[in-house]
Amino acid sequence: MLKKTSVVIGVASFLFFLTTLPVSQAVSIKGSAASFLEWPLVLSKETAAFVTDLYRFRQNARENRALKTRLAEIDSKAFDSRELALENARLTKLLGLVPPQSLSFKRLIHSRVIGRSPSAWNRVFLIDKGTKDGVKMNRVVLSDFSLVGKIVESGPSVSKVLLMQDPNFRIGVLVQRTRQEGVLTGSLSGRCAIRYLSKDEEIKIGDEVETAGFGGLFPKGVRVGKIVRVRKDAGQNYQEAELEPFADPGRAEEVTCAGS
Amino acid sequence: MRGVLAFAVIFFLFLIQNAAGFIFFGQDLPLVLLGVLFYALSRGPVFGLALGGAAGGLLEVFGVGRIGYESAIFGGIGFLAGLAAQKVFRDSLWTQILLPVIALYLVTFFNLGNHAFGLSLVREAFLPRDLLITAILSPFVFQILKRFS
Repeated sequence: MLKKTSVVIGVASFLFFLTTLPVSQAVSIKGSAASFLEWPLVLSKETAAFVTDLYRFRQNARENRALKTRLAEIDSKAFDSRELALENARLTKLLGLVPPQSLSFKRLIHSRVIGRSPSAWNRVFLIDKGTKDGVKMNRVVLSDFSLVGKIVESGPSVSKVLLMQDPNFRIGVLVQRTRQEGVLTGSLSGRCAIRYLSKDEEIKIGDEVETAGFGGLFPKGVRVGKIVRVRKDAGQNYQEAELEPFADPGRAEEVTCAGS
Repeated sequence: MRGVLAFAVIFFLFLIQNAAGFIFFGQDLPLVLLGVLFYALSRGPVFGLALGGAAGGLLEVFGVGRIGYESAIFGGIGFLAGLAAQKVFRDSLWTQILLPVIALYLVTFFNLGNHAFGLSLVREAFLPRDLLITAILSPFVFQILKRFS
């Protein structure tokens, strides 16, 4: 009985001690543990990917056909866009305006997703690149050049990406058409909401949203998603919008860390 | 030896849970939690505490910020389930359905304490869908684990 009690007290004390560790030490321990677990996680992910490929075979074939049609449409639009870009360049030069800086990243680090959090409390990915590969904290993470999340912890060979669907995720965004600024947040249900949008302008369903680049921590102009619902509460100074991200974290198997 | 096997099974369940995250994204299958409950019911509170602490430690890999919170929650649940073993029958279907649901809600409740507490968060946290999936999955997982232990 005494032995059992001492085991309980010992384990409980150890767990309590762990919770009192400073965040920097905790991050370091978790980084090392994640590196140690990298190969088992890769193995389980590859098995899941194989099963998913079989399971989604028909769906992928349908999607392939739809994407081919869409690609033809986009080719046609790209031709028009090139015409407009040339015209814009001519007019910019004529008026003596400073041309806007296009979105460019100094370094892109491509990596595989090796683990996904099983809990809604931590919507995170583990990726197989770490500090050894140049991945640093607060780098934006993209899938198909759209925002997926940001790096929150980085170990030697594994890093942790906080997804934009996580309730703790915050990033400044703006509505491309109206230039209204807001704060993008995730939620436990996985929906993304944009808060603190001014009521001055009408936001339409389908409006596209990009990163605002406030504070210089994150780059400006990264595609985020499109508005699917707008909510205006009487008596509130701001309106709120629900956003559907362009990048689907459920399908993302490879992601890109971007450093500006 | 059987104790080591339990830790190995929990590690295996952790890998399956990770794989399931790729197949059914957005839906959590609480396999590790079910494993902890099964072994805690089988082997008592002390083993439940140790196994729960280790299982939570594995899940900490996905956590952001401080360490030990998930271990403490899972350890506590393992301990409580071990204590409950004196009162409930592990092979009863009611135990296999109700205990995991209660445990899942305890995990959710304690995780709420780690976030900014708000009514909307509480509403989002307690999803009937999670409850239903846990209740359906649990008897199957218990049966499989019973064969392997």
